[in-house]
Amino acid sequence: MEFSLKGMLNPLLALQQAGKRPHTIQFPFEEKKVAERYRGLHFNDLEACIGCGTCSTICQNEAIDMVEINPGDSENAKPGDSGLRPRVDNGRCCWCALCVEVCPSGSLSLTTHYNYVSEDANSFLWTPGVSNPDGHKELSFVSDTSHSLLDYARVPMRELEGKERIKSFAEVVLGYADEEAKKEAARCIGCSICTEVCPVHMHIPEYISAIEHGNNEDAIRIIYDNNPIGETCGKVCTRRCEEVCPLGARGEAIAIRWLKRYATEKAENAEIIREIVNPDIKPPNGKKVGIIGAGPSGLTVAYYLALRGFDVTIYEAKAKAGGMIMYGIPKYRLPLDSLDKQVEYMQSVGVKIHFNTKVGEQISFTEIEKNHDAVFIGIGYEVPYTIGIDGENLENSIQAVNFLRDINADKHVDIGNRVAVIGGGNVAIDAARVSRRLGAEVTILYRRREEDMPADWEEIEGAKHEGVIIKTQAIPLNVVDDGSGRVKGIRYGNARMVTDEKGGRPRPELIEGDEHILELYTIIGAIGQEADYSFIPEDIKEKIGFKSGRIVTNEWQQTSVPHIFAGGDIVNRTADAISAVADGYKAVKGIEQFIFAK
Amino acid sequence: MNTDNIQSLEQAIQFAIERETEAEQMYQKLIRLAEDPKAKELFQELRDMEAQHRQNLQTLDVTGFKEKHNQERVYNMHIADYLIDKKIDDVRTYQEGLMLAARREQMAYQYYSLLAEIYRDNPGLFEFFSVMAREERSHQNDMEKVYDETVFLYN
Amino acid sequence: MSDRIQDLQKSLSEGLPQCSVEIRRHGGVELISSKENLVGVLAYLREHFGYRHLSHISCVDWLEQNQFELVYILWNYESRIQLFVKVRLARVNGSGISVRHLWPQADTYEREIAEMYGLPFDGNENPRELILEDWDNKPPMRRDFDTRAYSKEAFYDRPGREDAKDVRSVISGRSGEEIPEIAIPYTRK
Repeated sequence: MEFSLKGMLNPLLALQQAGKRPHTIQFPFEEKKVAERYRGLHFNDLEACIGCGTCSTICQNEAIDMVEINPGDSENAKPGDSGLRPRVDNGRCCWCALCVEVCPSGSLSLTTHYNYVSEDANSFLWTPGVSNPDGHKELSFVSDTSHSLLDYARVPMRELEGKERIKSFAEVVLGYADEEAKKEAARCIGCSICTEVCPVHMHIPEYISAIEHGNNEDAIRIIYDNNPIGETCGKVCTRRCEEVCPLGARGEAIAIRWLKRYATEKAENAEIIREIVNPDIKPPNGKKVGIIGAGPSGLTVAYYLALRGFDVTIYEAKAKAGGMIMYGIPKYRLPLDSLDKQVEYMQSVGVKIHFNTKVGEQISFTEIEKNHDAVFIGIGYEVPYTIGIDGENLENSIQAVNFLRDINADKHVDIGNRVAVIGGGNVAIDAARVSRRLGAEVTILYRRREEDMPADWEEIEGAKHEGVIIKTQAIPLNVVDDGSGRVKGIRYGNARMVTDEKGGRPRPELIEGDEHILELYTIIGAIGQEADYSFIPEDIKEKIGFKSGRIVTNEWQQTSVPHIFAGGDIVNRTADAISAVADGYKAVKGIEQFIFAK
Repeated sequence: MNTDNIQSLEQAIQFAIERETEAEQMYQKLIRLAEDPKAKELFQELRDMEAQHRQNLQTLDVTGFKEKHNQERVYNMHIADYLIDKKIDDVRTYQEGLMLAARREQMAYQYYSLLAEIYRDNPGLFEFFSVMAREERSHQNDMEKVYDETVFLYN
Repeated sequence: MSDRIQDLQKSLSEGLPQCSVEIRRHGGVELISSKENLVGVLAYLREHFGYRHLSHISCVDWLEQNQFELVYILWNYESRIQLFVKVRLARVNGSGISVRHLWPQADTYEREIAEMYGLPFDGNENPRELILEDWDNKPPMRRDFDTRAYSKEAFYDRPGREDAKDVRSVISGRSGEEIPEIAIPYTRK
């Protein structure tokens, strides 16, 4: 046998492979790492998800359903959340990840997980986050706001400069141009989450979509469906809708208010509104409804009842309609002609308004009751609380609501060059900003912190831009007399905030000895208002339920006296126009039910 | 509050009883002014307590509510300190009623504190007036809280 | 790296004055050509700039402008700088020009685009089917192809999906909002 060295050594050659990676599969099996932005099975962060359903809407394969994880989830969810969550049919999904791209909250992602084997095709239906609770550990394709199909930045609103503003009462907000409005409207994902927190439940995604498509007239019709002062709300609404906008979670909420403003302003006068809205006015049904107060709630009741064929009369104590939106909101926020236009339109559909008719003086409540099948009270909170400290009655110590009313009625008010406003609500801010426009240096004194102020943050910012000084945790102690019965200044003390162990707002405690005097020409009190119910006869007052100074009603705004309905500030605590409109809208149904059930 | 003429314990008690009676009347008026049932309830409670105080003063016995206020946090918002003095006949609005009540409770507190100080050497009387003072301080606190939540909602 | 890209942009602009050459933000270079010049430009890039590899041909449907855009993605092994050559074509009755003679693999990409966008390539007539079988619908990658409608028609819903809910109805049901007829066409579907 021939000796072969090569044959002897050959097996040893295998050793040269020892340091190399094997070509066979490693045991135990090691999964290969996938690409950085790999698109595997879904994961959903169930806490961050608000159930807007945009994933389901965008899915071109119709692979995503919005479902309740537990029965009743959709009924029990908080406002701002539909309670639904996406469920994916992985038999239809093509992992294009459009759903992730359009997820406003960023809760939906795709994972590195790609092998899923089951003999039961129905198990392909699975709910991300529920079916893979640990999916957050293997995230791969995640949504990123810096490059997304969604536009997280709002089209900025053009405004007058702070320095320009204080020169006049010109409207501060300049409004969107057509292209700006369309661009802003196009950002909306149409989920409708916002409609629930709107007290009126306006059809927000629909009118925004109409604006996006350039159909402003449809937008106006949709807005007037349940809000007859849409233009006012487009300018001054407290817009809780924007607080829950899903885009606000990681970017800027849709400018819902400004879009409403844009659309409604397209109707330049009452005739054009009438032409566009072209309301279906029912023939007279012979029923009469008396309304006390031409504020937002009263106007809403009057408008929708008039459309339904009722004979409606509003009794208004002042010379103009609008209530607080006429006399309380400064004209740089809501110009007079805008409000006139809206009221004129309502009159054109049959709303009768008796101006300068104060109930209890020019006409008695009993007479109104006698002449109408139902009565609606919407008198608002017009009586100011006084500041209640020594010197409050000195000359030039005035009340903000009276001050704003006089200014809006074009009267001259001498506030001099140094003004302090006491209070932290929108009324206080309005009074301060108006005083700036009259040329005064203005300081706001507020007992609590800035974050406790009930005023809109935008109003607070606006005031600061205009040079209003805000002194917080400052407690007015007494008004200083100049010796001749006029205001010389205000003595105030600083406070520390103490938390309320039983819940509720932190309370300011005066720091004794830390006192200061601010020299002033005028003091404007804006600490709050209440209603004047003196026109209501005692026997009816006894029967109507009150709570914290407000009238108690059922869900249709009906008081415990069946033919008397109420709404607005005297019923709800939110103190804004949109809640008053909501009350009015509900009262319309309540009054209709009450009258026709008789 | 003019306490200059008070020379004896009897006079002091008599003066206090008169004030408590006035307080009862004041709360009676507030019950009418407050349209709100919850506020009405609070004022009824306070009115009944003032009546109770009158009895306490007649018997000089406070065992009933001695321990009551030890736990409660008393704020010191000093709202009453700077409110305008209102006379009961001038009170027309709910706010004025609250102002009057807060001031009155504060004065009662100050009066009993003063008496407690005067009778510091008499353990029985000292304790009696201290408890009464604490009681009135707590009422003042209640009034200031109501004031803070209604009138000072925006302040 | 950025210096080399700038050098490349400069020499491409000089060498191909009929094209616009831009640096893209993530480091690639973009070159826009006319249809007439395209084949010459690609051949020139291949012979004189070392772009010997065609990575891909992609297509963009600019529906609103009534155009298709072809994007030739080229790779230079030496410089490792990616080059995008773009050309706009008419969307209706337009056609591309085949570059199979430069890169044989272009055949696959051209077949794919012809099938998915319905854009024919001169010099690559009647290509065989690539993915779709017996397709008689609009080319599916065109933006006016309604994928959702097709999906609805072509596939049945898996059993168990009946419990799906509509977000809009859930929200309006919860708040009691009544959506008027005028608004319904604008409701998200």
